[in-house]
Amino acid sequence: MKIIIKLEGYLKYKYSSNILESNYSKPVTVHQVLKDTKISSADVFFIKVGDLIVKEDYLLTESAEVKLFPIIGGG
Amino acid sequence: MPYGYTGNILHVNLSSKKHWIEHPPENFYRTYWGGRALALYYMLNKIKPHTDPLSPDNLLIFAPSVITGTPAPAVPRYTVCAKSPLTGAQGEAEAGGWWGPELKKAGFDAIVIKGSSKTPVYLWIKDGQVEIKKATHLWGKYTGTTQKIIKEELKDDKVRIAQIGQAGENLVRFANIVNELKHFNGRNGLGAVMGSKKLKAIAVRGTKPIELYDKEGVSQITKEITKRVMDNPLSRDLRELGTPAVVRGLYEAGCLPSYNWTTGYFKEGENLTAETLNKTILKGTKGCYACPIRCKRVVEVDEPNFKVDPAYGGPEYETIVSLGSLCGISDLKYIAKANELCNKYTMDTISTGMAIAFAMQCYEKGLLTKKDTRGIELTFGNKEAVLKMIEKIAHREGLGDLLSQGSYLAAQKIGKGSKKFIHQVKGQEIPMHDPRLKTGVGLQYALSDYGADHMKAAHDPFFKDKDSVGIKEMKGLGILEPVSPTDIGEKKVTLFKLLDIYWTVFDILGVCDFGYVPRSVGTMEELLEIICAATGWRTTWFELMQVGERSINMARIFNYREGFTSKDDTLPEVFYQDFKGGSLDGQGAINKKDFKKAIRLRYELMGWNPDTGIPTPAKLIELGLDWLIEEVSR
Repeated sequence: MKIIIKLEGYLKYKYSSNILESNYSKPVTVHQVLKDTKISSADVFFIKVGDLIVKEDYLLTESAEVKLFPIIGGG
Repeated sequence: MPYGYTGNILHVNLSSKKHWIEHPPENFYRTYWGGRALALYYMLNKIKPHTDPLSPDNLLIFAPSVITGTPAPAVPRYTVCAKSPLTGAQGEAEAGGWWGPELKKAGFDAIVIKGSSKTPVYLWIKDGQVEIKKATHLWGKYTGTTQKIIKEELKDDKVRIAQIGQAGENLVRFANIVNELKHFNGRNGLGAVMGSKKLKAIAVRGTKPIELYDKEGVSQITKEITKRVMDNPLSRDLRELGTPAVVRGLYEAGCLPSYNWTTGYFKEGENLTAETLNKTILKGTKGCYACPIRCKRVVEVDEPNFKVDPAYGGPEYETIVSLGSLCGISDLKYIAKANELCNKYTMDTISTGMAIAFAMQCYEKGLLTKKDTRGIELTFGNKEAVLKMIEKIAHREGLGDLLSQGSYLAAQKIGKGSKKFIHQVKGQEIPMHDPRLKTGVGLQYALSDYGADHMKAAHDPFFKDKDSVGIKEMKGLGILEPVSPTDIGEKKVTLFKLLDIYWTVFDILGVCDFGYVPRSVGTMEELLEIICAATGWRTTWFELMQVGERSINMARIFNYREGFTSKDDTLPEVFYQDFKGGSLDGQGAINKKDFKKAIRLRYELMGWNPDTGIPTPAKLIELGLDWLIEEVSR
């Protein structure tokens, strides 16, 4: 299955891309996907899969787009 | 000879039209440093308790800091303080731009204004010379017009002008003060205090550089930080998208404040994103004095029947939400127009949007009628109605007059249960960050001495993970362990005690949080180096944190004198309820009991009485505020 990681906000500058792709042969957690793509959890505030806001332990069982939103501060 | 600061504090009495210059000793500066700390010294000594904020007896204080005006990056800010006409508490607002540095170059560390002129005036300060000039011809003018006239009559295009528009003149309780048409001392209604003194503007010009202890040292640090800021992804995001960058994440997560906080779900959120703004109305970007980030938006609309003037900048995140989704508006053109109007009149966009959204909910619930609105269909989503209401508030006409008092007082007058539709702390409308996602921000809303404000501490997500920048870069304050953004336990309370004081130091020094940790790359150590190179003072974070804590205690006592108690350290009820609609539907409520427990613990950590929240004599002695013990002993 194909997991597309969509990087929002400053994440796209930090990780030098808007979109990353990973392929898996079996279900995988978002946490593992972040680890495999070397994205630090420290940078991520929200994770969205479809219409759901999920945590890193969310299990991806089929091809999906995972949107990562950066931490948000005041300003 | 002082370095970094001038040693001159200008006092102006607008009633007598006299001014004098005070030369405090070095220890005064080393105790108060500038900004709110310096201002609170005068407020506590010179403003009698229960003074009417709009009377001549209130003070209006403009205060940069001992390092403002140095070429160090992201240190351009200055503070305005007075007793607030919106809250009745200590009033305070910081602004960036160019005015603060120019005041320093003109020869002054602060201006303390009392009294009130009978006719409109403006102050003209150039290289240590002070003149009170007539401003009758400027009264009633838009800020853009006023700036143009003053520059022409002073025959100097490099004059920097802080001023009020008609909302300030008309004493709208959330009128603000603007410099260079687009940098605001935004909150607390300080523009109304300026209006009550019939002070239209303060024009400043300095042609001499600020004396620095180690000019080469400042230059070296500036180069190092600037290079890293330019490479930093967060800074790049701010440069390319500005603060509106925040919109996308919040709307997609279903926590974008919408329809007067009744939901976080806003279907048309895509229309409000920074990316949409860039594609549609962005004309350019601007920055503040000595800042490489340039986060400020400049927008323009130039259609035959609809124009937005780029001279007034562009909407920040707060404005896009408060005058957008909060009022059910998804048209950026109209939000940009609303922003332009608020800027021309000098009205805080957060309080303006909140007041209008409150009135919209009252209208939809039948608490206000078409008779009250004089024919305006004041429903959510009516973008023309928002523009009309801004005009009415600025000119205090009809319902606008009622809303010009702020939503807290307006709800008291409307009655009929309308109080449940206002969302405020100490009378100030809450900003557009939801504490249900960031409980530390909620603590700061509740405990802020000048009412709910989102700039009272770094936000929780910067401390969520062991690799978070706040944890990696702020160990020097003893911040070692991550805490979840939604946690409200002891670790969170301890963390936010430190962050409150740390951020207060930023406010005092005029430091922009977009330049230094945890939001950017300037380090805590580099800030010490900047201070040393500018002033010659080998300071430590221990000393700086004491300065910050001192000012927090001073503000606490100012408010205590005015009758504020622990009952005022609260959150609006909406945050004790779950989100409605969107991806977070049915989640998020803050536990009220836990929150109250957190507030009580914070009092104890601050050395305040855990029941009353009043500073103890021992704490005041520790901070060198023994001269205030009498105030807490009454």
